[in-house]
Amino acid sequence: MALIGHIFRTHVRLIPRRFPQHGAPRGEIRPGSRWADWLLLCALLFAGGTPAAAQGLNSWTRAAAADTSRVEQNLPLATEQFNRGLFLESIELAGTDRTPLSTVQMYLPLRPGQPIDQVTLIEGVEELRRSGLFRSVRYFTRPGSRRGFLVLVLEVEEQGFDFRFGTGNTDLDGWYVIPAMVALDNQFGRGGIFDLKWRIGFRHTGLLLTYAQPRSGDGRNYWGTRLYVLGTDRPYFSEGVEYRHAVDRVGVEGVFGRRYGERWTAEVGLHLEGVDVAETSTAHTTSGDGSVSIDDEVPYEDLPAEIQEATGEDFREIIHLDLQLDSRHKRLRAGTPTGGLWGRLKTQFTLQEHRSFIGLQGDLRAYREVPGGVFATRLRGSVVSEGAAFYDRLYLGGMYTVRGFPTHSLSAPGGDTWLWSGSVEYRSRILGRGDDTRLAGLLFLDGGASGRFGEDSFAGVSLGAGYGLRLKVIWLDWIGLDVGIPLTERPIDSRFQVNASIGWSF
Amino acid sequence: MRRAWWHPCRSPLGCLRRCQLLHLWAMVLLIGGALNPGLGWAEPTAQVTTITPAKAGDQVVCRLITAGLPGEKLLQSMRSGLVSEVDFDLALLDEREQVVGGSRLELQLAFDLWEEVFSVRSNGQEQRFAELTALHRYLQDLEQVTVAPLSSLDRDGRYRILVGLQVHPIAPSQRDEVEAAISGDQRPRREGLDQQEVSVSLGRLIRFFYKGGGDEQSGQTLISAWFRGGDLRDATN
Repeated sequence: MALIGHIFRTHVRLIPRRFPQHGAPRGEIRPGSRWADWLLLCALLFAGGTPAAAQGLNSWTRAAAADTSRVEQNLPLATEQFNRGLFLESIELAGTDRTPLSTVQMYLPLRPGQPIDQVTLIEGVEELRRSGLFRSVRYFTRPGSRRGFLVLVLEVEEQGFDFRFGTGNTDLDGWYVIPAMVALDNQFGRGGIFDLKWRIGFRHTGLLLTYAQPRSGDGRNYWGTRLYVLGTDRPYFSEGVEYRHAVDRVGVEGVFGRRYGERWTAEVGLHLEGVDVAETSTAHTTSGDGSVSIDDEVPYEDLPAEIQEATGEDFREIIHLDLQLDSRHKRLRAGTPTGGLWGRLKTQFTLQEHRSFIGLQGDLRAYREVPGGVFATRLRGSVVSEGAAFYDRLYLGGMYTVRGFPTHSLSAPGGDTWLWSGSVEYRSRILGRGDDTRLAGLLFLDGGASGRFGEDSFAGVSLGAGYGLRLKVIWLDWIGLDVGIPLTERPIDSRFQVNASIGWSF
Repeated sequence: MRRAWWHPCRSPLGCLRRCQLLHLWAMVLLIGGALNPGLGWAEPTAQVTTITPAKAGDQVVCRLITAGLPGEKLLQSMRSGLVSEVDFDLALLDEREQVVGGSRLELQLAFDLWEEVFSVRSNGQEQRFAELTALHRYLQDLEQVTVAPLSSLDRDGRYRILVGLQVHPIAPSQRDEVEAAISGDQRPRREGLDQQEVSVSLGRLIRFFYKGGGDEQSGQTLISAWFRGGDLRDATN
């Protein structure tokens, strides 16, 4: 019985009753399909014959008519393709008794019944490999029940106990390394990610326990939960001196998201968090006149007012709502999408004693191929209400806002309540092929401004320009250096600023 | 200095270097084995059994006798209508084990489902075989496989030819497989956060070093006997 059960689990065959039309994935709405007909009917009933609606409707009708004629014209070709083409009859899974085929199909973009060719098959399996569901995936095909039908056989090796190490960087926490990380992925056969991670950096340390399900339900949902203990020395600048102020956080967070179509994702999250803010700051640099030295302690009485009032322990609940758009092209040039948009609208509601606030952030990035490379632009704007504590406020300067200035150096010590920044970059290949660049160069121009609502603290627009390099390292993806030169007034005495990065700044 | 019967090294300094390397590899293998107890050496069914160096015109060539090609998985994939691939990486090594030349032979194997013939395509040329036995015969004895220009040999120099065999039931795309094999965190990343983080799997890294490639890597290597540049026979004889 055990043997029969094993064979049943590992050699599941899904033979379709009928084969769908060429190139029409399940659930897709396309002109000429039954879904399109229903939409057309609804639009007719809803529109009521306004000129604009009629124009839109006509274009729909035209599209549908054009598509129908195309399908009809292609019928002989389609029949020929049916006779001479290849179809995926079924998928078999070998080497696992933990992961069912239903889980694999959430990550494998191939469906029994679809037309198949070499490239589609390879790309499909590559996507399964990239998901990290299995430690290794080998595959071959064998003939199906009829000529032209094939069976894909996936020989997989399950994930086990995995030790990892790594590195990371955040705008808030700076650079850190992950000297130890223990991962136990896909232990229940549902594709779950489970890991315990220790982070340590120049101004950051943390321990994070994560469980996430990258795909669940119909494969479009994802969710995750995390327990964390994080400590960050937040930088702020006052009279040309950089200070650090310790903020520790302990909490639990959960997120749930869903992908809509190929481009849209919506996410909701809840965080329960305890915050402990130190009662003193420490000087991280010396002052020009020598009155402040490194490691000098700033007592509570001398702290900036916004930091002073946020010291001590506090507890809060945070709800966030994200809406994300991603229409970036898959084709890359100089490591950058050759076209498309990426955008996110993030709303955050924080309930905290005396300091409840709302935050809103919009981020839009656009990419366009131009002679010799890719032109990338980013526009970002954020606002938080007055109640936000200094560690939730907005700060300008650094890798992700305006390069050429140290992190957070363009904002007041207590942070700002509104901020915008924009960047334009020209990225071009230096070594490697256009679609497989090994070394890329970039020129950038950043600009931004920040301030507080109701206060006359606006210091003008800050500008920085410079150049950078990105090297593709097989273990770390892209790593790079940006050299930024401030074009406007500098808060501290430095002629340029160097930022190291993993990946691109946007 | 008397050398122990089991010891491969001739000089103390060389011994030290080699042994350090051996110890390092032994450690890697032990750790790798401990972390990946389910892993073992892949049992290659396809293999190169004989390498016979020769010359043809101004090229160093070799005759390769193989066994187990195309093999069951390749045959199944071909019979299902897809293209399989067998790759031979050839390197000409001198006495110091330095590579002085090399080449790569890619054989793309296919089966026409409607005409029911096998074909082997290489360097833009195609050979067709009506019978599987004919394909077997062709793959068992590959003649005049180009290795390097003859000018890269000295008449009195001693050389060997190293041949690596890779078998792909589904012919791979032009992606860099090494990169795919050990590139960092393979998990899906959350986009758009002002956070960049990568991690590398220690087990995957060790597996790469001791297994030698990505998921699709299943290969074998064979090295020829030593030969002198001036002793090469003409392949046509």
